[in-house]
Amino acid sequence: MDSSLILSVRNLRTYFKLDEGTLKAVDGVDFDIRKEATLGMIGESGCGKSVTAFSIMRTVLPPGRLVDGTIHFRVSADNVIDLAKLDPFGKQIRAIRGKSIAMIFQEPMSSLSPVHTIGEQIMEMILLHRTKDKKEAREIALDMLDKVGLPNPSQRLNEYPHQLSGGMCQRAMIAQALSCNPSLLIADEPTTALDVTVQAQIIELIQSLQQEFGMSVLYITHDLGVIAEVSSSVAVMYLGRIVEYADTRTIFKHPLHPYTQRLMKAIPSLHGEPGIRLENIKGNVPVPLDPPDECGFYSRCLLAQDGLCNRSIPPLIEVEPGHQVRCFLVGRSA
Amino acid sequence: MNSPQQNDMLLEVSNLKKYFPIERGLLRAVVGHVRAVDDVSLYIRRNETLGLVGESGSGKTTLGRCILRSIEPTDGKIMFYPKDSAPIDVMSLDKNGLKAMRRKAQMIFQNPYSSLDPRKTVLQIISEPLRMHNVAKGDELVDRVQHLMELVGLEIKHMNRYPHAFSGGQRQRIGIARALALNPEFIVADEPVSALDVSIQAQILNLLQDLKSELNLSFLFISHGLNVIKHVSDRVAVMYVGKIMEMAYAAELFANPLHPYTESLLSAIPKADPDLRRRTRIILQGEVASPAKPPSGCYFHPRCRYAVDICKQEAPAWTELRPGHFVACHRADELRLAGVDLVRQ
Repeated sequence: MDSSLILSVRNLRTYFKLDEGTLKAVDGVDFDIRKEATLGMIGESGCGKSVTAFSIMRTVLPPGRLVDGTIHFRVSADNVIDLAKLDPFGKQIRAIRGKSIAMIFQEPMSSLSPVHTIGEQIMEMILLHRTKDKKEAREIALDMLDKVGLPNPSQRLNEYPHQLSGGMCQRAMIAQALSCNPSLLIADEPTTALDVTVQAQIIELIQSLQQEFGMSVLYITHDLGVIAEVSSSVAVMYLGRIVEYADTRTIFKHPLHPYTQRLMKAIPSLHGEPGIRLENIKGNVPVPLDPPDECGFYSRCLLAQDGLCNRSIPPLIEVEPGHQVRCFLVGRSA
Repeated sequence: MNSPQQNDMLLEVSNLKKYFPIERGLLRAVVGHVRAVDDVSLYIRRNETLGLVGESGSGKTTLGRCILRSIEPTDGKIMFYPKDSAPIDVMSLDKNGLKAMRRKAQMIFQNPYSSLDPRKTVLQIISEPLRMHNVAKGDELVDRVQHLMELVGLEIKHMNRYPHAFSGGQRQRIGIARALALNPEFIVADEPVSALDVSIQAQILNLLQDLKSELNLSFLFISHGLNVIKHVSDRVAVMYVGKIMEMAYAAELFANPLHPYTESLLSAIPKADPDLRRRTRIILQGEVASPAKPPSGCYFHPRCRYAVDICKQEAPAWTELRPGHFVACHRADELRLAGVDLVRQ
């Protein structure tokens, strides 16, 4: 693995064996995250963003199973581990989970335990990974709450999540996630449940902490606006596969995959003329239950060609340096 | 309030209040009030969409429901001017009057998963208002439902299916068909696209837009998404802790906001353009004030970077500073606030 990378995922496949068939939630995903960089992962619900995150953390629950692929993670400068090969309940992954890779979740209210105080929940992590001394753990927890800008930290430490607002809970969860100085933070829709002004506060916070701690971030969201603000490069996911991957500017200025192009036009713009119609994407996101060997976007794509797009799965091709697209039609014209 | 001509007016709300009592102890003594809607005045013209934007807990939903009296307002006046009948004083209606009024005014709900009865078929759900009001029965009822399903883009052959067989976007179409069943003139749409994915959201927004012009509808469109509000609204009202802070034509409000709260909301919108990210963003300090214990004076003053002494002492008056542009701020006429650059570079 290149020494500038912190994480390198290749051919990741996570399937859910159901009575109805095999649900291919993540079906051959490749991506890299550079040190101290932010990769934005974008897609609609059911496209496999969250399952990708859980696969990296190795917290996919049955009937889900990581069936194939490698997840190379740099634990330290010269120590690279393939997380996909570890026992999900083993000592090794438990030493990494929460310490080197931390995660923050979508719904701060429901992701924190309602029967433990904020302090207990942050200290649990610190006591597990950093120190055995409770007093010191408390100091670290206080310091973290202060860093994330929670007003009145010494009082908040003894409060329960229901006593805090959504934005404050999200700050507490970020404090918990960062308390062990992770080198990779996975943020799974961290601001989706929050109001726009609170969202602005939290994005600002994550960015300033990222600079302070020098960590890498995998930022998962369905909000194109948020992605444009936070990430240096973007992976667009559709139906368990990455359909386009490039630096943020290229994705927004020159999207090549028909899905990315349609998605950009589907968001109501602040600049649009009043009364213009949005260009929607026809139909619904299909469910990847025993999907046929065809382009996942075939059924909704306006440019789809019979006999080409429904014959096999298009490969992810680098059409220009650093810009990968999974589409037969783009590969051709380029 | 300097109202426009009565003949194009559909709805006029003046000084509407909804205070929920806070009760404590065994005897349920009232120890205070949550001022969910606090002295709100607004109007909606025919075939117009008024966007109502605000953060969670600001009272948007309560306001929408109070206007239809599905929540009983504490005080205020609501005048409704249907096209072919006399003006209706909504606050004075009895049960029967209210039922008749609701043929003209309907609601679309936020969550398409919880606002449809899972034990009823699509036919039963969409036909319920028609049966309730004895508008149609038998074959005519089925015909009307089929027409409604076509209107909102549902396939007629799915008429006997249950809601669980539909996706989120299709369920929202069922909810819209139900709201349209009685040919209403006015619809309160409470976050109708918030629970939907981006690609589906666009389908529903387009549908609502088509229906508005085809059926001559007016909307109170409630959303916390500023880009959605900008897209659908003719005029926009901004709500904060139960009060409307500013109301103006959409383009005017986004380009030239007069209230500091609007300015900070606009600056917080994440822009889907990586070239724009290096701008200065106003980060509001602190939390939204509690409607149970609102601050003195202007409710926004503890978070306002322009606040002066008078803002702490006196509540600002609701004034029409420019034609059609209302604002409640002491310093509105002296401040030069930043809006959104509406011309795309």
